[in-house]
Amino acid sequence: MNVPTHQALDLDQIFDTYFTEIHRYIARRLSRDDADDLAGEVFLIAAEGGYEPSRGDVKPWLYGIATKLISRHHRGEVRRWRALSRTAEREAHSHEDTTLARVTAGALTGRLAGALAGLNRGDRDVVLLVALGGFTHQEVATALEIPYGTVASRLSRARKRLRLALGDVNPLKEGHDG
Amino acid sequence: MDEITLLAQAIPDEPPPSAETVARARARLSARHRTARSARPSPRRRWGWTVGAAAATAAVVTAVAVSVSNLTGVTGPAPLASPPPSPAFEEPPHAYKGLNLLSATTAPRSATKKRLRFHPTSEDVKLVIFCQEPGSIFFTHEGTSGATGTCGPDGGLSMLADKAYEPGWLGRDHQVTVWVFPPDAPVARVSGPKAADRLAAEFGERAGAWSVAAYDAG
Repeated sequence: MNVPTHQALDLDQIFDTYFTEIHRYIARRLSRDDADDLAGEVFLIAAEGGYEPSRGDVKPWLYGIATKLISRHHRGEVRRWRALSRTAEREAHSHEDTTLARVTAGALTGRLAGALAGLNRGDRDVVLLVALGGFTHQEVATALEIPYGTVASRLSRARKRLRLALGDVNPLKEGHDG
Repeated sequence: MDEITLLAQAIPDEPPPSAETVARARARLSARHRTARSARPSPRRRWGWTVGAAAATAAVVTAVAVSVSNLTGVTGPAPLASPPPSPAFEEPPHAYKGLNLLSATTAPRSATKKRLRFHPTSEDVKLVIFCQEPGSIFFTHEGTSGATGTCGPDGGLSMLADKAYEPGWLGRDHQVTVWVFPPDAPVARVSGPKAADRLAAEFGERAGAWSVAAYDAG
């Protein structure tokens, strides 16, 4: 949703448009309970102002607020990724009717979650804004209020860690890209 | 497929927030918005004071005139202005977005129910719930159909009225039961009239007047 510079922010419309999306982003990084609390907080913070239309769309701005709130739960998020890593790997090898696809999907989730837990906070924010929010480098830079070059270097570092974690589980070889 | 796409697919997805969560967040936002508006200093504060002082003076003059007229038996001066209209949650307006009022009822407290009877004659029917407390949650029910939603002073629309497009709905009497609950009520649990009654009993009556009105283009 583009908000023209000459218009005041219509918070009701912004809430209607983005609340579910922001809730989902937080729930995927922390938990549904945390999202129930924090998603509303994002819009309360937004209501206090700070949006600059000259810097682009309102969506990255909201994700930026959400990301900053998530960072207050840094330890909880790391615990979540570690737990997901363990359970996904375990499930991948526990089914009697184990298929190659199930093993690969479980192993992928486990390894990627483990890699996310090992990333530093800044790199994780960037890679998850790109992966879950679908943002461009410039939009991530706007969301986190950091330079474009910093986004590029953080993303490059995160990609390397993810590739390393994937190791021999190559989804292209397993035919997972449709 | 690169690492980023894989990552997006590997992270478990989450279902959308419950209606209760959305309503609560919306109520908090509305409350903040209201507080911010009332706290904002008026750019015409000086004029406001002047106009206020003038009004107070006029009121004193009027009161003196009335007192004197009462003493002398002369009819007092006509009121300077008509009283402001009642808010919609106390008295629903006679027209809503070009539609005419069919029937209305009001309740002085929240976590209560009311029945509304009406006889629509056009498919363009709206069932509007006006609530004093923004973010209040309503449940409307008739027969085997129910619909929930949120309401505030500007009104919330019940989806029950969409049944006007179904065959046999028009041209007969309807009796819709409406419950209104405070913004923090767990209305997601309400699946029917019995559950709504139970929730209302658990909550007990709360502050927050509301009204419900049916409108149509007939």
